[in-house]
Amino acid sequence: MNPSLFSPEGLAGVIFLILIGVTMIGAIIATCTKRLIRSVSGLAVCFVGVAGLYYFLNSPFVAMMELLIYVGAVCVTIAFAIMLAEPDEAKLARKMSGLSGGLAAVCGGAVSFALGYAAVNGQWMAPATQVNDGSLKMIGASLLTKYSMVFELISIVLLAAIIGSVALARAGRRGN
Amino acid sequence: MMLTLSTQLNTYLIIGAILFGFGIFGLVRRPSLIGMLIAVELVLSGASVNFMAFNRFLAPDPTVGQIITLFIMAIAAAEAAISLSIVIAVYRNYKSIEVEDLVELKG
Amino acid sequence: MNELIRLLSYMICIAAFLGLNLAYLGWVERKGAGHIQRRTGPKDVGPYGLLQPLADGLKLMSKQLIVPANADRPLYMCAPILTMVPAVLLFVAIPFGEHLVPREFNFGLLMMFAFASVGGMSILIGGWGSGNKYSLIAGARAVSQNVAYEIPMLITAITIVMITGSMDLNEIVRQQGGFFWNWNVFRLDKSILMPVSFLVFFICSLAETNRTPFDMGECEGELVAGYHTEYGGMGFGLFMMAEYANLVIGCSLTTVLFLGGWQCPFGLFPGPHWFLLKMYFLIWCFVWIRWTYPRTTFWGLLNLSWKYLIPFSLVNLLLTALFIKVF
Repeated sequence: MNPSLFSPEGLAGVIFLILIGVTMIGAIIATCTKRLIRSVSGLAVCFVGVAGLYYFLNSPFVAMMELLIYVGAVCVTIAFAIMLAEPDEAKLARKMSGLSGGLAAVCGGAVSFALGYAAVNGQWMAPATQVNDGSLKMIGASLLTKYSMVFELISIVLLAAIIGSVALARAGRRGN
Repeated sequence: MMLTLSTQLNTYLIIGAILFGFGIFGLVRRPSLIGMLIAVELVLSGASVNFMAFNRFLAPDPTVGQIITLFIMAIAAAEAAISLSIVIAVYRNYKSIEVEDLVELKG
Repeated sequence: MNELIRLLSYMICIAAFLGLNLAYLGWVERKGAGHIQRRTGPKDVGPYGLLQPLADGLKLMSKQLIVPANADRPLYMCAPILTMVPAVLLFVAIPFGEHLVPREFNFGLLMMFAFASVGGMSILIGGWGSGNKYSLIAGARAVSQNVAYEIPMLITAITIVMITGSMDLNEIVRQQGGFFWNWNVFRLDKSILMPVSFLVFFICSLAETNRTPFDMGECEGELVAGYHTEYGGMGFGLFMMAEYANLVIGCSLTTVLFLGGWQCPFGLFPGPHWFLLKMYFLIWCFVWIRWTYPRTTFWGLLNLSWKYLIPFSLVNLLLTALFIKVF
């Protein structure tokens, strides 16, 4: 049934459409501009949109973590790297025009069409029962009991990443 | 129909596919390492949206999809950190971050 | 429909509260600065200089918005707005009174930190968009300071969440009811280092909102005006307003987490007046500290965070876990 525009469901639908728009605009900015810093800003906008999508998917916790981690840490790190490794804007602009645009569009379009077709035409079966309600408390309980291995593995991966980055940065500095 | 899009599974699957497609588009198009990293982040986002969509609509245990998405976020952050260290180290040696200039293998 | 009207009236009230605060916190700061430095602050415009913020606003609005030639125009225009948006958005979750919270989120604390980190990105955009290498360096400094001090803040907040068992800000305040020794800053049965962790959180709030002694991002002696050098007129006005809004949010968060929010010290009449009293007391402490201490050096600032505050807060976390389990 169709909710009216000013009921809560209608307004939520409008906000959802706005969020889809924000995500798509962010993705377009991230891939199509010539300057890298605008690309990173577009990526940040896209992530804000995706965080909104996660909120609509009944998991506000993951939405907030997305904002905290992706926008607050990953985008800032990429922006720092852009500052330290000055890209040659003129050379980048020259490279990007030409055949690579068409080829890229064909590749991207083909992949997304294939995925979308497979997704929409798949016969996805709903499960019989829901084991728990997926709230924040349940995530915490799962992470510490059933999926504690995942938790420990994440910490080891992050530790390896920190040690690796510091080692790479120090080696460069001592070399100079 | 437009207003009830948020309650259907297909919407999210198509959004995930489109984000993935944008990522591949960026990956082929951009000639610099950092640009490729940005496109790879888009690909990971598309995959995460897909996981979360299935988690909400079809999963018997709705915590699994969220835990996987947190895992993907942590991996993406670690990957971004390491690849940016490598980019800076490469920039120090080659003075450029375009893939066409990185052609020598030390042998 | 009722809910919609309620939310709309809250939005109007928050906008009014915010507008008044942002304008008059500048006045408080200048008067306080004046009296600490043994002079009177602004006193010409209106009685005791109370109409000074209006005069300042008019001045800023009447200035020409000059965009530098090699600035990146879309980024330059968007940066002040992007700095303001997270600061204003966070007022939705702050509990002014028991039932005076616009919307009670059960992840309210996480929301505060998520939007604070979004604010860090917009500083970088502002610094880059100015097209000026001094702004860029100042922006990079401000962001690295922001990121460094976010970590002890988060870990100390996790300590509070462990004690309370919920991330909901109103719930955290409710559990500090009764007398003032129930406030989280005095709860030594949960962790012997609780007052020290309050101090750590306070220092991190000072650093997060870029206030002296940690205002590397905007120090006047070294980098002209930091990442908002190139902004004139209302762009600068928006940056200043965003700074004061962040200040109010930081002080409200400290009040809610450690000082008992809207609870009364003697358990008699809890209400928003206690919240506002405690918040303004903390803001006065911020102003007092600003005009009393000299600025730290940049490496001193980062050393303080990475070498002292983070190990301390991790030790505090383990200690709290130990205390909760054993006692």
